[in-house]
Amino acid sequence: MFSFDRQITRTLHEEHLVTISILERLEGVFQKHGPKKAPPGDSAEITELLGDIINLVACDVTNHFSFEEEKLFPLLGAMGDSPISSILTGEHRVILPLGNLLSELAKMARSEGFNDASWGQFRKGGTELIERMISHIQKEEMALLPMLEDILEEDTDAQLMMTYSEMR
Amino acid sequence: MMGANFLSGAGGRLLPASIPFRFFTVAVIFYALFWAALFVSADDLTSYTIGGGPILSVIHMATLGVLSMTVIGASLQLLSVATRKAFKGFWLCRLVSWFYIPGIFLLTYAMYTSWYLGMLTGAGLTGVGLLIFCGLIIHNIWGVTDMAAIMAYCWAAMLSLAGLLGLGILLIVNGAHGFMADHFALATSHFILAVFGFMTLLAMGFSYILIPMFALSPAPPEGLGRWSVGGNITGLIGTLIGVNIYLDWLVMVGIAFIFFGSGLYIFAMSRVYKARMRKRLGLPFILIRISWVMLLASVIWGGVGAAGYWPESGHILFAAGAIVGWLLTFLVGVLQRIIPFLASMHSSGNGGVPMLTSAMADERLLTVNVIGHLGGLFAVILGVMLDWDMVIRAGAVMGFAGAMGLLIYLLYIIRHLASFRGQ
Repeated sequence: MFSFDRQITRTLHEEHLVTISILERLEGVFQKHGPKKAPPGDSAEITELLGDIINLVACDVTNHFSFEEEKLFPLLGAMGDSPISSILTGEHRVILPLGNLLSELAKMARSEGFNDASWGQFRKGGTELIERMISHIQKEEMALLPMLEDILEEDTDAQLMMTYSEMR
Repeated sequence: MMGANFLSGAGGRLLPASIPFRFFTVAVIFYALFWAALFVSADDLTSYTIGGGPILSVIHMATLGVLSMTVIGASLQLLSVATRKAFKGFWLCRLVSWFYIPGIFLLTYAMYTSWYLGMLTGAGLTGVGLLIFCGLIIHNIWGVTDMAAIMAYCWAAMLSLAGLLGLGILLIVNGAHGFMADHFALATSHFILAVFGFMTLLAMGFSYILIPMFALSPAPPEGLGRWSVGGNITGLIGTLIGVNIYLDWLVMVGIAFIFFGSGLYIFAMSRVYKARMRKRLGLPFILIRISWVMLLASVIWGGVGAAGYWPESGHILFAAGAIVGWLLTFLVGVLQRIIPFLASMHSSGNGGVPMLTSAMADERLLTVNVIGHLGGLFAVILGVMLDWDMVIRAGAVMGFAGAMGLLIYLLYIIRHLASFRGQ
């Protein structure tokens, strides 16, 4: 894995790992179940995955994005490196509503199960979320986190970590 | 760690999409032309040893048309971001294409028809394009002190490029006037510098940036890269000297060093692959992993040849393994990943809704590309081993179908990128 020295970069990186692992499970479910027919309602694997998606969007994605936009991107802007921030912010604007939609569909499915139509909608949104999120994480892992490693001092790192813990 | 933060500031250092994509488009066109020309000339393949004609043209369609073209497009885009030094003046990057692209078309056509003046003019245009490229790269890496191994790969590749260019032009002139005593040693040196010097060294150097990025994985330790580039450069020098002063044992030692350097490179890449965050890496990595196997197999086969155990068509098998099996397979895998990645970067930077690459083009076309390419590679190698041109032709048909899959995919992406930018 990447060897990040700062607490905040390590934390964001660990959240990326969790996100990728959930998205890969989701991808696995989509490979097993096609777009037309909803999977059986008694699948423990899918029930557990739906819970994880709801948590992921509520905690990791929403807080992660807000923290980046409110605390980290202004830091990069002050360093004069705003293009990557504007690329990532633009992607947040698309990914977050998509995540929220998927979370809502997952909540409905947990209480009522999927029918063919809701499964189709969930699968379509999920497929898009996987592609957008993986590409987004790729940019953050290769650009944002290494840049933060370069610019953060120990005390700023501790301060950011504390702020992020409070936000979470 | 090497190249871990190479995307830093990427938004500000992305070249205009038209620059890398023009090289990628022509590379994929040559990829299709290569298989088509191989189909037409399959019966000449196993008997080819040296000199002009269709097979020489087919080889250069692959090496200069596909491999160097892809390497130029990828280097111009990646190097400025890796070194955090923007290229001064995009017009120079465009100038490379204005010389290089028509030069390759003329050179390969002239080689195919054994037209001496055309070959010389084509080689001249190509050479000017490559020299401008070489100048751009040297200007960009000059004074860069971090990422020492990657920079060493770049320097060694540029020196190889200068050497192979000089030898290439010398070979054309010697082919017409015959003033050099040993044309074969010259041709062998040109081949080694092109395939295991310029293209392999750049492919290896950029792997240290690209593979961790695509696999979402940590970059390998710097030390591995340094030993690997050291082994490759020492091996290259030893092999070249051995070939030219007729010392077989020195050629063997050189190949052993290249084996050591290539082995370390593959070891480093395997570590990157195993530590990846994203487990499902898809089709491009099937090609990339097969290419690594083919790299080692080609070097071993080169050693078998240097020891004097090649069968009659052993040299063609070596060329097919190194050019199609290693370099072409690797770079097609890289193209399959870098095209959607760059499209995503360019569509994200405009403030609108970033485009999904899966919405830009049907990804089943990439499956067609992989199946066609691997089927073509397998059949061509089998056909050369059996000296059976029908099998080579069948491989060329599969390869052509695969290349068309990639070409159509690329054209869809370009069309969407153009319409997106138009909005």
